[in-house]
Amino acid sequence: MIKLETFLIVSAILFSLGIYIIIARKNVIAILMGVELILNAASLNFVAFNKYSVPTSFSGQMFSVFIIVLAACEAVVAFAIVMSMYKNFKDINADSATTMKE
Amino acid sequence: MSITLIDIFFSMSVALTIASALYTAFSSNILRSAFGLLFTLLGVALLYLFLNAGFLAALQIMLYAGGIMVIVIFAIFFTREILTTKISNPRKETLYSLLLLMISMVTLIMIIFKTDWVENNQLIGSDIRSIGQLLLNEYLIAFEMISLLILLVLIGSVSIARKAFKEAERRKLYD
Repeated sequence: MIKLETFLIVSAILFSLGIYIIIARKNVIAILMGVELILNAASLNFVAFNKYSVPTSFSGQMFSVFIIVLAACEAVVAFAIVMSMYKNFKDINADSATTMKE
Repeated sequence: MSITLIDIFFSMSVALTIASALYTAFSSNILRSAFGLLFTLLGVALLYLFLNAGFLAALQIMLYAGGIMVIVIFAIFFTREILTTKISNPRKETLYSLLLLMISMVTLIMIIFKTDWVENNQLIGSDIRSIGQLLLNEYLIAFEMISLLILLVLIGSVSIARKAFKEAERRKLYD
C-alpha cells in the first residue's frame, strides 16, 4: 500500500484543489491558501520521487527545504500586500483591486 | 496480503490530508477553510514521515503549521470583522471551475496509473546528516542566496506595509 503511486495521487489531488481554489475564490487570502496547497503538492512529489528513484542521494529533500522556505517568504510578502490592499480598497476581494496605483 | 498497523496509520494520514484539503476548497467560511489547510499541512507532514524525511516533517510542522498558518489567520482577523466571517469566502463560476478541477485531477491520475514507475528499494541512511552535509557543500550558494532573499523579503514587506499605513493616515487627515 505504501508505494509511489499513492503519494503521487495524493499530490495530484492537492494540486487540482489548489488550482480550483485559485480560479474559483474571490478572497485574496483564500487564493493564497490555494498557492500553499500547490506548493505542498510539488514538495510532496519531490520527496516521493527521491525516496523511490534515487534513495541514496537527498537532492529531492533539499528541493523541498527550499520550497518550504520560499513559501514562507511568499506568505509574508502576500500578507504585506493584503494589508496594503485593505487600506486602499477597504476589502480584500480580488475583483475590486482594479488599479495598481492611484 | 495482511494489513499491518503501519498500513492503517498510512491510510489514515492519506484520508486526513485529502479530506481536509477538500474542506479547505469547499467551505464557505474562510476561518474554517484556514483550519482545513492547517490539517492538510499536518497530514502532509505525516506523509513525509513515511518517506524517510523526518527533518522535512519537522520543518513542515514548524514553518508551515507554526509560521505560515499564523500569518494567514492573522491576515483573516486583520481584514475582516470577526462576526462577518461566515459569508467571507465567496465562490464564482462554480460550474467551469469544477469542470477544470475534474479534468486536471482525472488527467493526472490517469497518467500516474498508465506509467509503470521503476521503484528502487534501497536502504537509506540518516536524512538529517545528509541534508546538513549537502547544505554546506553542494547547495552552499543556494543556501546563502536564500538567506539574502529572506533579508530582502523582510525589508520589502515592511516597506510595503508602512507605505500603506502612511497613505491611510494622510487620507484620514485630509478628510
